[in-house]
Amino acid sequence: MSDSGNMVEVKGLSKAYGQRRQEKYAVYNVSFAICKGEILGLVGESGCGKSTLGRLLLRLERPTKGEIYFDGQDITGYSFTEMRKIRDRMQMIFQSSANAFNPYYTVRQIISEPVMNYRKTDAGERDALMTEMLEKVGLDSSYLNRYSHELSGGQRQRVGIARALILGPDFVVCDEAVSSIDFVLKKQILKILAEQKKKNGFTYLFISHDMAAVKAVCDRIMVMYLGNIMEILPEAEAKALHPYTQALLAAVLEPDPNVKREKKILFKESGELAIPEAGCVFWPRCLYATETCMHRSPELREIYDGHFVACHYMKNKRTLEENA
Amino acid sequence: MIKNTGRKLLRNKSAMFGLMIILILLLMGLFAGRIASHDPTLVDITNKLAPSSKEYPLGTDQMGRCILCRLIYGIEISMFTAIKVTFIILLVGVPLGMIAGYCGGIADNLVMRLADIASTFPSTLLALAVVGIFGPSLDHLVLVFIFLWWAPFARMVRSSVIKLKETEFVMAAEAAGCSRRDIIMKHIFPNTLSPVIVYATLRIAAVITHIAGFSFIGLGSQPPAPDWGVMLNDGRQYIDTHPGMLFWPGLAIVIVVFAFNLFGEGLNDALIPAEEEMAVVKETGDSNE
Repeated sequence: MSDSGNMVEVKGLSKAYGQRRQEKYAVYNVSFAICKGEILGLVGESGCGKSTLGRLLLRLERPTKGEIYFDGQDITGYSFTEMRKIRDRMQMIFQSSANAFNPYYTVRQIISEPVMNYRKTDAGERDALMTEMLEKVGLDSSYLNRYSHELSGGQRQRVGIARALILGPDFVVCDEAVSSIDFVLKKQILKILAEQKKKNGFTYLFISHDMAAVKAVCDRIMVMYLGNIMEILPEAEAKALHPYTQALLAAVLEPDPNVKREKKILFKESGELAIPEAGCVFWPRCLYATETCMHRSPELREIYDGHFVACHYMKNKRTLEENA
Repeated sequence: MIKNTGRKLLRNKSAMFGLMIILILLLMGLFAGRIASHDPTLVDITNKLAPSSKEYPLGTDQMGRCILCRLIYGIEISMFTAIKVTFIILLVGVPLGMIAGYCGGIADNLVMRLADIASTFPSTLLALAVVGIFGPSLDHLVLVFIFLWWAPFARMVRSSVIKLKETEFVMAAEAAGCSRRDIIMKHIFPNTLSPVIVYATLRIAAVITHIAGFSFIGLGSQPPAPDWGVMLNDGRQYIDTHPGMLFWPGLAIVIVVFAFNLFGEGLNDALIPAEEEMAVVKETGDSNE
């Protein structure tokens, strides 16, 4: 790759599961890039392929189609051993932290594993490193000898964060990294992530359905629906243009009871989230869907500076707003 | 996890009772030469079918051999053999299941078709055939058991491995830069073991009954070996006059099988709910977002 400003770049990435005839796409024809030192938010409903996309970027799953570049290298076809050589530069914070740890492992074994794989250290150095890391995420060295099932959900999630960050990777996929942590700790951890970014130029893919957290830390936000990218917002506060993004944002709960929120449901109810046979993936639930939407799928187009939207009607977005 | 399992097992009275019986019998088997005062195969026709006495607590059989001594020496044949057989079955079945589950594709297909073949053979029929061709012997019988009974273990391990391969901690191990060997040996293998251990314990009991059964019909151990099945067969003709000859070896088999089943059930309770507990934790962990 010529463009060295991108930490990660994917082109036409797809991942299908299932047998030949009944392939189901978890990720479909996705292209985007994450710049170095950037936090890219990835939002969407459960089951829309967010986690799959995150795993694909780290090559923990094999892509069905498309290319993945990591810091300029095409890692799409890398073997297990080739990937192993660069895994210390990319890490992942896993989603469901109960299953994220070997039940026979203590926290010490969990966190020291990446260190032992990549750094030559003795036990004392490792312990110091681990203690420092645990303190950063609000735990202390007394947790080192515990098993993961002896920890609470939030503690487990923080151990997961410690494991991912201990090697000081360049790129971290945070899959629902702060979802099961209470508000105060959430702030603290988001602060750690932001600090690391500032100090060491970390790059993140921040997967979450917590719009507030996403808005708080992310530079850009990518919206996904059923494996497709619907919209890429150039900044966290940018105005959403795609009907799906608007619907998502309208569904965010307001923590302040004094702020009255106009309750708007911008979705059509539909029983099952299935990919329609033709057309835009969102048309069955879109309030503005027309004949065209049912037959032709929209491309992700740049509406203006860095703002990408996949919708046929973005040319006349004013009509959209008036309708809303 | 290991701590919890041990504690649960210790608290399970019936399992501990089973384990105690197993240990006592094993010790008796190991020190058979010290405990038993008579040679189990020493024929003394003058003293045949003797009733219970100080020298022969359970009396003697039709050849004048001490029944208790034969029972004690029989431990080696039934229990030791069964444990050895089960161990070999594990050595064959577990690695094959790991390979099938982890590699998938052709290796998986090959192993699973072999397992299909192994599990379609009725063990009695194959045992009869093998004994018919190679002659009756405990060794031949053992080979038949190994040949047939690795399959369920391979299946069990394979399905666990396939499930584990998709779990986040195995993926996390890959992300943490573990080698394939570490992923398999440290993360997958230990987590396949609990059902295997339970099933193997129960399988030992099954092997014991099978050995006794085949020896009873003359296809396993051959007289004068102090096999419990052989003893049962000897006692058959004297069931009216000397029921003890049939009763004592029968009781021995029942006790051993009972002990292994108790222990296996206890292991099952101790090992499997630990995983269910994890599942519960997982669900609650996910829902507090």
